[in-house]
Amino acid sequence: MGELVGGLAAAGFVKVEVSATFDPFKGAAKEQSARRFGVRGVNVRAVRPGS
Amino acid sequence: MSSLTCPVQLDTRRLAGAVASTYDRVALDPGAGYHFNVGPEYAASALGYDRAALAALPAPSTARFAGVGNPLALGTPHPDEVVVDVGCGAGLDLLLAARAVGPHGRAIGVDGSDAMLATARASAAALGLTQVEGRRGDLHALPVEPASVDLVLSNGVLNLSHDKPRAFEEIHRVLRPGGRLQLADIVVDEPLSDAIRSNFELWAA
Repeated sequence: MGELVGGLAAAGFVKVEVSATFDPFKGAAKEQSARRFGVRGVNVRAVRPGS
Repeated sequence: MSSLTCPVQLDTRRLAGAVASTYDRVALDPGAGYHFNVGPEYAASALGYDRAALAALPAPSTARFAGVGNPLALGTPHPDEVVVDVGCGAGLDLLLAARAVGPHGRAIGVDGSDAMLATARASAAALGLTQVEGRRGDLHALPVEPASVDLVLSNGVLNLSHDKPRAFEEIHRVLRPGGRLQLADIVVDEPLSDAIRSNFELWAA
């Protein structure tokens, strides 16, 4: 999570916000692997600064 | 994958080929069964997409949906805006965005899979959405003019990148000042070993 947010900030984005989480591998063939590594989906919003 | 750059021992050209191959297979046979979820029921039940909105889209596009979140839940595009969907796949988010921007806006889908782009274009044509354009391209070198985009969408694609800083810079480049990014992607809680980070199958998930 921090890498994603930090990566966006490093690229110049501001107002980086994570607003929702999902379980995209629920019921999928790789569900157990996803659980083991704590994989989850997230929604992220960011803005390129300026007007 | 959560790391921003790929392991040095990973053949990035081979990785790109593996990713393209995976999503070409989804495009050609969405019902074959994959190690990740696909389709409209998954989009509605797991990710919160509106069932009525999905039902109004051509089935070839919804059947091939393989996103991991719901970037349009962060905000609906405004009329007349220019939207780019990075890794648009078969076009589910792209078509929803195109409807929101209307006939005087533009909805540009970029994807590396010709088969996915063909599906997205066909669905747009079936819906009469002339504001939709599909462009074959790479998220590390987007075929989009600088500072020309109001909103960039992406759903489940940036985790496939072997060079996320470059991908983020590309999105930043094409957005106009004040432009928005709304993305969905996967993150992991546990640090990944080099062996896992070098596994092509996991990268392509």
